[in-house]
Amino acid sequence: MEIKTEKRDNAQIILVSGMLDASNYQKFEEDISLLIQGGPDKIVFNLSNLEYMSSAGVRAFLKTNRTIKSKEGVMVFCCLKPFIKEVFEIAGLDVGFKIFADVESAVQFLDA
Amino acid sequence: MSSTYTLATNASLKEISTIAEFITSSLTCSGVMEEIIFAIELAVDEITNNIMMYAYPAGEGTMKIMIDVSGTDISIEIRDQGKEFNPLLFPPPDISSNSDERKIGGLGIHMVRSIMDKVNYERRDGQNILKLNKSLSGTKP
Repeated sequence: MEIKTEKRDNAQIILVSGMLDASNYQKFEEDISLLIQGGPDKIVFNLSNLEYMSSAGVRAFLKTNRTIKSKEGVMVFCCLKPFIKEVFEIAGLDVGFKIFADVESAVQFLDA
Repeated sequence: MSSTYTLATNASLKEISTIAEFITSSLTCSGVMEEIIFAIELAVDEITNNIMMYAYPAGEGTMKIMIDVSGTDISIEIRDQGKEFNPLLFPPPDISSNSDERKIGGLGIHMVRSIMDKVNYERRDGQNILKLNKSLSGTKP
């Protein structure tokens, strides 16, 4: 699992790569928490390079969402691979979160 | 015609990638489609994590994963010798509620039930035995 971040307009784009599972979700939560401290509170999770995610990853995103909400921020997702999209649907994340096909649409939504 | 693959391993987070590789290589050998391999990997990941947390809460134990692929379906049996633990007794999680308020317990087993066609639990000879079944001709992804 690897995390890279990029600021675009008023949004922070976080690119998550690799596998997100029970062996690394805590590290993921810590890293994300550091990244969003003091940064823009509009976050796009770009999952184009996320190959695998289990319920531990779902839990990590829900926890991250609580942190972002407490700063009155908002997080959205984009660029889900088919398997990740399926995990989102099974876990109900597709109901609670906005999901976009590409980064541009996600940033536009947050800028509106 | 059917093929059977078996892996005996420690119930440890360190083995997650070993287990994933075992599933991928076994099912690839049997010509199973990639999206089904991903789904099976996820189901076994969730079950083995439950074993680590609830069957062996005090530390490591061992577990055995058997995969049987026939022309029409995939059967998986996962055994451990830990504390009696039936994951099917988890109440279903509330996945419809607001995403930042919902409780998240039981999500793993909910995902397993969604992916697989059949999930059965049995306690026998001091072992937890979980059997998963996925039809290769079904409509589920």
